Amino acid sequence: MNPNEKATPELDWAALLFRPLLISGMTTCIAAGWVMLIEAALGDWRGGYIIVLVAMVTLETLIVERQMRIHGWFYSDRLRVRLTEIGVMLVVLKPATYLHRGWGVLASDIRMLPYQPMSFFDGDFIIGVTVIVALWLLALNMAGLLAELESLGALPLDRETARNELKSRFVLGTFILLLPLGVQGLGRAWPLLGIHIVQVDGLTLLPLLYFGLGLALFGQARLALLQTSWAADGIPVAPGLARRWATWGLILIGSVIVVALLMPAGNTMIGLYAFTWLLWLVTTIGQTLAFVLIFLFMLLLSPCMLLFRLQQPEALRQQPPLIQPPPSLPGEARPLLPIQIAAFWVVVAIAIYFILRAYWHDRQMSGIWKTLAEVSREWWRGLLAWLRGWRGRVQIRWGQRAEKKPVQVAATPSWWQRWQARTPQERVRRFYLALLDRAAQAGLARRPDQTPYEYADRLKPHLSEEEDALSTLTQAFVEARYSRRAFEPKEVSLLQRVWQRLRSKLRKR
Amino acid sequence: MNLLPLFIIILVIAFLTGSDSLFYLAYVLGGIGLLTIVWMQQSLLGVQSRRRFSARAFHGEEITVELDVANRGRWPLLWLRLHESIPLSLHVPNFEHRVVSLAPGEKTTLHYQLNCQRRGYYRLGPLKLETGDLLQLTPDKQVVFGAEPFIVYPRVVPLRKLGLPSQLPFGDLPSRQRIFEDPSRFFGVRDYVPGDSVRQINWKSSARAGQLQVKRFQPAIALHTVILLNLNDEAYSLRGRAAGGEMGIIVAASIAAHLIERRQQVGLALLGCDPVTEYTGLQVISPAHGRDHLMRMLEALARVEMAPTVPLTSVLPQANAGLGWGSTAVVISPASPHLVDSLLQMRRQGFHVMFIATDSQTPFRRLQGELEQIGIPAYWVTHEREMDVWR
Repeated sequence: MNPNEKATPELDWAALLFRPLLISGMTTCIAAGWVMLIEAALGDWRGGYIIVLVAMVTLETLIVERQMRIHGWFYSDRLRVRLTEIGVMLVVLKPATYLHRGWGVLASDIRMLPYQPMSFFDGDFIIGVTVIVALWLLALNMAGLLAELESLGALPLDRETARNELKSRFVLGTFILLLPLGVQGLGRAWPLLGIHIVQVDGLTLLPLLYFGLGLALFGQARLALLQTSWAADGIPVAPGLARRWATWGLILIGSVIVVALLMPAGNTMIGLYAFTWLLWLVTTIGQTLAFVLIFLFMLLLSPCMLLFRLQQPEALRQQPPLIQPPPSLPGEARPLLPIQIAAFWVVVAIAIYFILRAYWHDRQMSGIWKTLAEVSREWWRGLLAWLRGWRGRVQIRWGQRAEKKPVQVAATPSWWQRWQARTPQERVRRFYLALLDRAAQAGLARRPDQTPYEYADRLKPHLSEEEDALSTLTQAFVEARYSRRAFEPKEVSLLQRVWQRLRSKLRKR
Repeated sequence: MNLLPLFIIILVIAFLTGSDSLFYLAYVLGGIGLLTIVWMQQSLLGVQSRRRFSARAFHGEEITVELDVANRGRWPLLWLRLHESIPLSLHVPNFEHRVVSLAPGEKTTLHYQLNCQRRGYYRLGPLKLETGDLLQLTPDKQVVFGAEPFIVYPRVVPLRKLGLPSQLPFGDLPSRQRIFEDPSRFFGVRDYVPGDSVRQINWKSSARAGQLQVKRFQPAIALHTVILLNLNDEAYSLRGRAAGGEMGIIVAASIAAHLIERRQQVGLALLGCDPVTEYTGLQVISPAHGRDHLMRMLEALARVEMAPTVPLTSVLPQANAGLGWGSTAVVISPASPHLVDSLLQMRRQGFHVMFIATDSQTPFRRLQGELEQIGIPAYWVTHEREMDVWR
């Protein structure tokens, strides 16, 4: 190290590339698990392209997301980028589904499309969209949490919250991955107390790879946390620390994984005959439960298989028609089938929800169950908030069109921000941040050196008759941001109305 | 981050289902947890640190400190936060910190400069090292390496022209009485010259020679000078306390260095506080000569601090104990009650007394008048410029 060396801004390649790669790798593992399951269930179906697309889409999205954060793009700009990405994703996905079916089928389907528009949404496409979009959202969410960890302006409490949420995403991803792998693994026979020969296949490697990448990602989260605290304290960091962190972390995790693969698996770990009967009992119960689960799962999966087979008749796949299909074909198509399947899944989900709710009603949840319940609740609230946001947006758009007012970009937070606004404090903060965006678009941007109160004083002359509302929202933001005050739902609703008033006032300027 | 619950859950499920993947996951989690614990236990055991610097410095010097931190262990240190505490008088800010990563056998060196603009006894350090694991599975570990002493000597002003009265036995200054003579060691006689004491006349030899003869004695008594520095902060004025005390230290160090340079024996009596021994009161260094002795006195002057303590007048007899007749006492102090009486008593005891005031708020003119009446020269040094008259 050179004498008197000072902290120099090092190219944060870990944040720019390494962390997106880790997240992309994790989501790809999950995709691979599900693709393997669906391939096993459907027989001749091949979904390798989904794995490749998930890897590419998540990596691209995470890198673009970081660039947008660096350049400080507004929510509306981000939304446009996201919508573009979704569009490109769908356009690329559709032809990719024909990779294993052949281009002749593609040509045939293109000819069929005017007569059977719903054939566009065939089984391959729906499976691909479902897997890719779900994992894309998960990757984006994890990237957002990492960005919160790296943010110098974030409070320690916020960073800790982000870290805990990252953990919950990791656990959620684990379950999403283990579910298809477990279903496939349970289909195999295993000898009790038999010596197991290591067979490294996809079933073994995928969870290990996912875990390895996840642990490396947590290592990066830890590094990001430390770097922000060091930067806040003004501590110079020796160059190369991030590189060493990544290298040594991968060596540690990789070596442990290699050693783990050399160890015996199956039930050989027990080795104690005294406990054999007990383990046999427990194993039998477990197997019974597992088979019940498999049965239920296959039952739930069967409509999907039906859809897949119905959408792609064998004759159509083998002999693409060279002549125009008869006009009666559109009538034979079943456009309501996807809706029926969706309705079925909704009913199943609701049934499972009520069963679980009834089961946990009088029980005290703890540990992983509590985490799962909290995650589910958060997702549910986010979904509701998103739906409410769409409803409000549609109403506003319709109202604006009726009055023929000039169209302006809505300052409402995107559905993603709404989805993230889970806690009352977070929602209050989002209201204020949305107000800042709206004011910035109206030419009244906050200067970086202005405190909320100073900014409110500057904004008041432009918000005649709404000075009190502005003071209320500013005060609420300060309390939500810098104190531990708990906001009641009624209070949040009131603040939402205050924010809406201010927003409309700014829009009229 | 606690992997234990996840590890237990996966292990239990692995036992229930016999799934290879779950066993491997459990192995991975358990292995990483175990490895991390061992790693963290061993991580700081092999860390060594060493400071390379000159432990003593003169005023105005710039000292470079090289702090080596080496990882002699077998485990790499993923990150290591170094925090070296440094006295604010020597370095701004009062710490030096850095984050590094150290592979086994690797060493890093932290450089920093000490700007020695203020005398004192300082301690460099302690050095606090902090490290942690990859995933924060275990609490961060700290180790503290001790501090090391560092002394900045007070400023020494070269006093080439003291301008002191010639009757003072102040080394090689022009004086009629260059050295003292022991009356018990008769050496011979010489012709009388005006100014010789009548008591020195040898009447028998004068009768024999037909003219007045005076006795000559062998030189037997060395010239001693003791510097008494009063750092009792209650004696100083509120406004002149800090500057006056520091100026007193500079004056004492300058006189000591000057006299040692002239090969004279110098002693030091400090009334103040020694932060090292935490002793408050009178500290006496017996008169001696030589450069080592000067360094000893400068070190004591570097360490001493102002503190409320007993009045100077009450410890003057103790400070002068062991000094021979004719020794010089340089008293550096602000004005205080009974000071003139005490100095007069010293003079009557046969000491040559010189008084220097360094407190800018002290009533010096009145004091100077009183002291000159009893034959004690007094000087008022409130700024370094005042010392120009001595240079």
